[in-house]
Amino acid sequence: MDLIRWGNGLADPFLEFESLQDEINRLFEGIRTPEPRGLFDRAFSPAVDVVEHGDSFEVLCDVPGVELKDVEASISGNVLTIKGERKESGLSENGNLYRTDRRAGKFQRTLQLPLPVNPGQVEAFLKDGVLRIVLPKQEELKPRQITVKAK
Amino acid sequence: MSDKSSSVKTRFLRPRDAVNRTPEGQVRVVLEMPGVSKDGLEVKIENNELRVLGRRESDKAAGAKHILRERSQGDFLMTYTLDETVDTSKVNAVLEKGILTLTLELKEAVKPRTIQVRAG
Repeated sequence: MDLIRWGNGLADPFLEFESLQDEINRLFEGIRTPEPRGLFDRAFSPAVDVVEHGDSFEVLCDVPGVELKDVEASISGNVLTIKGERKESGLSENGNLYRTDRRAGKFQRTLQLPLPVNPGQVEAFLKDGVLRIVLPKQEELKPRQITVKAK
Repeated sequence: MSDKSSSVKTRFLRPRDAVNRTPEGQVRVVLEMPGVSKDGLEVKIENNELRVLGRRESDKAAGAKHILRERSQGDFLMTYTLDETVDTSKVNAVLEKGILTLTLELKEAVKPRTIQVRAG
């Protein structure tokens, strides 16, 4: 039988447990996906994409089932706020609910854009349950090509 | 529809859904499919399986840079297993505002029937 000298460079058994604990904790960190949360979020937070184009920003927000009259967007400076309410459930009243993972109620998202936009030219569209907002960048902030001339 | 199963393949997203039975005895399935238009939708019943596939156009533009990306990308897929009580010849599908509503009729024989109780 081989005998191993205690403390001879080998790990302390409690250290083993600690590293095992760390490893398990790490495992769970990967699974947990962060839910977007804002200070003024309501019943739910719809997912948002912000895409930067050359001269504008495009904001896309998934709001299936939300009526046009129940959604509003406002801009102040470079802070965009999307507010709304999903009223429908798509289900009949007095019915028997088997199951659902849908959410209804009010929602709000507030986003800060990296550059100021032109508030007068912001356009918003609602199609197939996706809200699309196009925000043109302010003219003076658009990168301008400077031609270097030989002298 | 007493039993339902969902199969999620890695490339597909499972849409959020709600299933209920109306007082008229129909089964209503509501699925959230933002970004899916009528052309991208495919509803199929095969071997007692109801399969809903919603394809989305990728809104990727050249030269565009994502600053924030929370929306899940890809197509929606949901499969429900139907039992023999569903009349598969009478399925109604409506797609509106990114919401797909499926109405399934139950076979006459299994519809709930109210029995009048009379005083004897």
